[in-house]
Amino acid sequence: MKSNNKGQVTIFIIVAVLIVVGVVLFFVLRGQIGVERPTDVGGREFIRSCVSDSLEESIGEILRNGGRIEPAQTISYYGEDYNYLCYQEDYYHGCYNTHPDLLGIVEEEIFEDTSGAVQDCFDFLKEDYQDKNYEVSGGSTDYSISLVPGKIEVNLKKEISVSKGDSGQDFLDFDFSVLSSLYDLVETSANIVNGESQFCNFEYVGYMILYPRFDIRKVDFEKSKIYWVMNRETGEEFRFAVRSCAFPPGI
Amino acid sequence: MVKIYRKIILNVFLAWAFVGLFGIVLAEDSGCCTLTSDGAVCSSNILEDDCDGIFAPNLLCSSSTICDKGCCFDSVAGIYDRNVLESDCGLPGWDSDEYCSEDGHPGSKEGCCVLEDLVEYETQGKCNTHTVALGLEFVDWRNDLSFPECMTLMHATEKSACVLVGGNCKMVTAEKCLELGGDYIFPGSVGVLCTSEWAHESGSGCEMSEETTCIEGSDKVYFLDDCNNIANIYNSGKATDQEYWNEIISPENSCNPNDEDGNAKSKTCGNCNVFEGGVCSSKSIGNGNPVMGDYYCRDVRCEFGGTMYDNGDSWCAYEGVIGNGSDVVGSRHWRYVCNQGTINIEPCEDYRNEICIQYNTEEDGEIVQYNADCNKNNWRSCVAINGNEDLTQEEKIEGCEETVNCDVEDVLIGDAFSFQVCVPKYPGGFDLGNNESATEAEDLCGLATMRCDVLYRRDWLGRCKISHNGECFGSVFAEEMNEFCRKMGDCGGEVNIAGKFVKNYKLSDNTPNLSQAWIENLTNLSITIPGQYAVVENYSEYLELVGIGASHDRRRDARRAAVVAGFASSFIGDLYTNIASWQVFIAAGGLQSGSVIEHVFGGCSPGVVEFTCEVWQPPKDGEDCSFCNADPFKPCSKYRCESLGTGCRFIDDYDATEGDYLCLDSCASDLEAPDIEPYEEILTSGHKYSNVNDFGYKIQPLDGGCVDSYTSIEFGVITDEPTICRYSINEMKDFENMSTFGRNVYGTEHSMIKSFINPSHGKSSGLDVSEETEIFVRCQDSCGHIGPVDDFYEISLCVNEEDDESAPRVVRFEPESGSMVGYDSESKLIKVITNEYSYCRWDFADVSYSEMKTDFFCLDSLDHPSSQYGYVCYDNLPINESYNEFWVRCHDQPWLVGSENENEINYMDKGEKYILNRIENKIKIDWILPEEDFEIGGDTTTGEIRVKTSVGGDEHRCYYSKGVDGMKVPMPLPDETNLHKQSGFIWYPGVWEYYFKCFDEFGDVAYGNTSFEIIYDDKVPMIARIWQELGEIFIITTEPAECRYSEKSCSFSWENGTDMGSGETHVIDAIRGKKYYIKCKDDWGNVPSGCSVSVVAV
Repeated sequence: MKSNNKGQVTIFIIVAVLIVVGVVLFFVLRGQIGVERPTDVGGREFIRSCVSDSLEESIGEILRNGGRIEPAQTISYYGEDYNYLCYQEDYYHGCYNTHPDLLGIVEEEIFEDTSGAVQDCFDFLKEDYQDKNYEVSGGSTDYSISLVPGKIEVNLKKEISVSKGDSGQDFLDFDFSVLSSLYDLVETSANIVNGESQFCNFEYVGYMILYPRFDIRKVDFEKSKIYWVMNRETGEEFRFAVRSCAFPPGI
Repeated sequence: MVKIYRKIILNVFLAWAFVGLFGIVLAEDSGCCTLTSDGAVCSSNILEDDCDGIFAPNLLCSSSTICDKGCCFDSVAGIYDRNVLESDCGLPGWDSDEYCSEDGHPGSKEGCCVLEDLVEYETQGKCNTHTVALGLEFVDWRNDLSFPECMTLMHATEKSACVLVGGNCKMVTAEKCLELGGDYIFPGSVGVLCTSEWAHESGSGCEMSEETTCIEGSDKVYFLDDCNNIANIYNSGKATDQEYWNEIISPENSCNPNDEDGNAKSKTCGNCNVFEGGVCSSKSIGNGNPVMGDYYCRDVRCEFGGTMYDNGDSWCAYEGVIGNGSDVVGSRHWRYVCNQGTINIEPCEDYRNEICIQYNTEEDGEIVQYNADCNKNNWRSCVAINGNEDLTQEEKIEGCEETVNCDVEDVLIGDAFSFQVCVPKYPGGFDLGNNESATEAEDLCGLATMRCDVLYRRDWLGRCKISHNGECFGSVFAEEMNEFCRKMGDCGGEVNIAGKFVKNYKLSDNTPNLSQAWIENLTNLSITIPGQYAVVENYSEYLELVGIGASHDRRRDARRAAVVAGFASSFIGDLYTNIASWQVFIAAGGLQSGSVIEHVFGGCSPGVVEFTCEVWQPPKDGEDCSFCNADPFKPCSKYRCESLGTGCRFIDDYDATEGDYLCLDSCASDLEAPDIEPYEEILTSGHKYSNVNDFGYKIQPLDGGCVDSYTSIEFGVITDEPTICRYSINEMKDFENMSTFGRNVYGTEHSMIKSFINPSHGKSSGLDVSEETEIFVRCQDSCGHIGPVDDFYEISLCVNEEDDESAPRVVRFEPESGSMVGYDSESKLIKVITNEYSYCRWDFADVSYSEMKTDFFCLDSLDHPSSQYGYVCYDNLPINESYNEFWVRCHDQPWLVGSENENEINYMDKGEKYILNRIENKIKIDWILPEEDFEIGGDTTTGEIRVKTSVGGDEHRCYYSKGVDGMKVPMPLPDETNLHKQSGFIWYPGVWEYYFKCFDEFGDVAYGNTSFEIIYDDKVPMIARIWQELGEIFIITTEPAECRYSEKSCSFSWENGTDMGSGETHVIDAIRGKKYYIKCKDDWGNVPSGCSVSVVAV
């Protein structure tokens, strides 16, 4: 009986040691595997990857929040908030288009949301090179976002010179693009908003037949309409709400 | 004295409707705010502190320019956003053309933008942006193509194999090939593939493959060659057939072009046709199994209820019988859409504010297309017709028959109690959880609360025999009145979506209730009739009014159709703003007042049968809540859930992963009956509650004793949870048979105003009126628990029994004295309400009662006051002057007239003055726009009609119609200057005439009309004169135009031309001997394909 107890204690100790070693290894390896270092992958590729990460997060927010990072006026539908792109509080009247130039708004929102991250990426780049005893000098950052059909163009210019001894490298152009149907989704949503504001309605079924790449869903909820506009190929879904020509219950 | 006896129910809604629509009073210091701290746009009645946007104090947003909508645009980028506040517009341009019309913004015109393989229908500015973004060299924007024509250009660019250095080959246009420096192969009349013999001869290394793909904008599956070029449509039998891999073959000449299923699910053929049922899709979606490749024609049809629907078909579903007022409580109309093989559920607006209409397209007797739409339910207009004082009874009926979604309901009961009312075909529902809506629901249902006076006449033996309306004692009274009642909305005896009947009406004692068979028929209304759907009613007149005429065949244009459908919806919606006044019109048989007098005074009292139409309340439990969660094609909603039981609670934060239900039974945890307490705050001053205990209280004057007779006392009870309370007087009744204490909606505060008959009057009039009065009260919560349990809450009081030495008092006039009447009014119907049962007369001078010349009609009885304020008499008073003074006197105890105790009657010794003022100026129409002809550059234009009215009353409304006798459609409410604007007209070239009828709250009417012609200008501007003077060439055009010139040729592109200025005179600084090619474009974009003129400077 006693020897059995001893055996159990030994097994526990071994298991505990294995767990501790596993955890330590996990963090050590994760650090090595998970983080790309500019000096490993190249400055341009690093910036592209780094900015893409924050861009994707930003795009996700934009899709979820109807073109905004932080929606201002929303309706809750089954626990999810939907941003109003067109709103009219009064009954019977068409809505106010509160997001004119939606494309421009989305570009601005993404820009605002990712500017800090872009700077962080360059800072990290600089630090990493300096850690490796490179001399790094840089100019100002010229950054903007353009939504175009099928992709999001990241226009990123920054003069960076990296040198060590006699060798060196200059970077200027960090432009790249991310595949996304956001342009299409935003344009279609703007069409829906314009239709709703003028006609209190948008005939989305006919629109889907004419543009089969879109899967548009609509539901009337609490005197508002919630739209989901999805690109069938990319699976990206832009969602928003409108309140137009609402009718009171009863008289 | 012969007068037509017309029984008219005056209703309290007259006042309400005007308050609701016009009488919006702004709180002090509040105003219009463009953006509230809650994020709401353009809200009225907002305090400045709560406004984050622009604030306009003491103004409604509808009256304030800060909330004007406009067009926000960037003409260079081609962005035109409609209905935008100026303060929200971040683009370079904003103007008040809220719909960004093409007339005002030529750049908003959409055209066909050809982008190599793609086409987009968009503005020229956007096309420019698009073209640049795709790296294309030339902008190809064609403004002369319709949308369908544009779509046919998709993938229509002429491509062929372009063999590049090294054996690579691409399918591109000739220009592109030139740019790539390749060898463009185009041996015949059609393009050839990179796998063709000709391409191979030129060095192409591309070969056939079994790979397939879908391409954007096309519904078909295509082969890919091994260079990844798109080849011909997938046909497994031709995968290795060299001939099939030579030339580009059109879909018509590919496999199964006429397959009736659009090659859906075909394993061998990729010639999908999305309109017939197939669309290119990955085989992982929908279990495709093509012989080769990863793509196939996915079946995009949908099967529902045994019917196969094509992609894009839409159809209606319901919850029970629809139409003819049959829609059951809680029911909703549903539109389902077949969306590429899946069924989209699109609920029409709840509370039946929308109805689903269906219209099927047939060919050779077979349905080839199902179309459904959620349209605004016009039910409010139907009810409003009844109250339109401008219309005669016949006009109301005619108007009702002509109005969409309305039915004329014949209530046929007695010979002098039969009438017609306008009721909705699809009655609306009520949100009883919303206090405002609940109040309105009570008012609406109350319209069907009516009293039938069964009249008697003495026969030659002196016996009282029924002479009129005897049928009101029969079962037909409850049946007919309940039909009327439930067709007004969720009122009366009705069933819910689960088929549960609840009786929400009251009948006088001893009047037969609805029979079981009748109730079963009502229950069956919750069962859907297969194949039944709401049809499209004749909206043509509505559509024509806004310029969407059937004569213009635009139905082929899907976008146009979409616009029409949407606009119709919104347009019909505008009708609802037209509830101007309420008054049920009942022509009751043509009894003459003389005969009424005879019947009333002939010694036989009339029998009174009353039907009280109450707001429908759900079953008092939560047993059926799960019904709402049962059908995945009919997701639950608040209205549906709450209709199933008072204990059903709608949970809107549904989380399917946690298995929550949407509609839950809240009664499972509520086991307590409500507690009742006195409602102290409401008690009429000068009184007190005494002997208060858990089971009741006594009402007494402050100094104790009994209350005075005929004194209105307001009293009440409070419950500790929302309840409905009922009462009975001096008799313990079942809860179901008690009268409603206060309101028939759930609340915690319940009160009523009541005055009590002088017991001595009871005796002298033959009624058994006790000095002691017991009011038994019980209250029921939403789970059906009634408190006090097995007992009553007793409110007791005693009424002073004393000789009546007081004359009656007029406690109220309706409308109140000093009210204004219309300029054209000849008479005004008024009510006089007295504190005790009385007869009243009026005259132009304050003379004694006996000297007064005209009797009021006083049809109440001692135990049946028809107003909560007392006993009602009414009559039409003549309007002869701008200031009309009347005097009213009454006497009590009318039953003593002609008896030996006639001297006990008390007469008012002083008249009550009543004044009606005629308004000084009659409403008039100052002007109507448009009034002049104008030109447009396209085949349609959108426009707005403006009507300016002035003087008259404070609240103006205008209707317009297309013909003199056409359907009159209300315009939106005017601004503070009485400018009425109706926008959204879609006009096409031709003569347009509109007729207008404007009225104010007093019923005065002003008429007007306008006529104008819209001229379609499709002619290019002509050169009227041309001459040279010194070194300048002058050109005069026949209309304002913009001219440009080139020195090269006539075919120069407009963008490359040199500007000569706009207007009618244009100038070139000429050089002798040079030839100038000139083009002129008018405001509508009409420009010649060649030159307007060419000229050589001399």
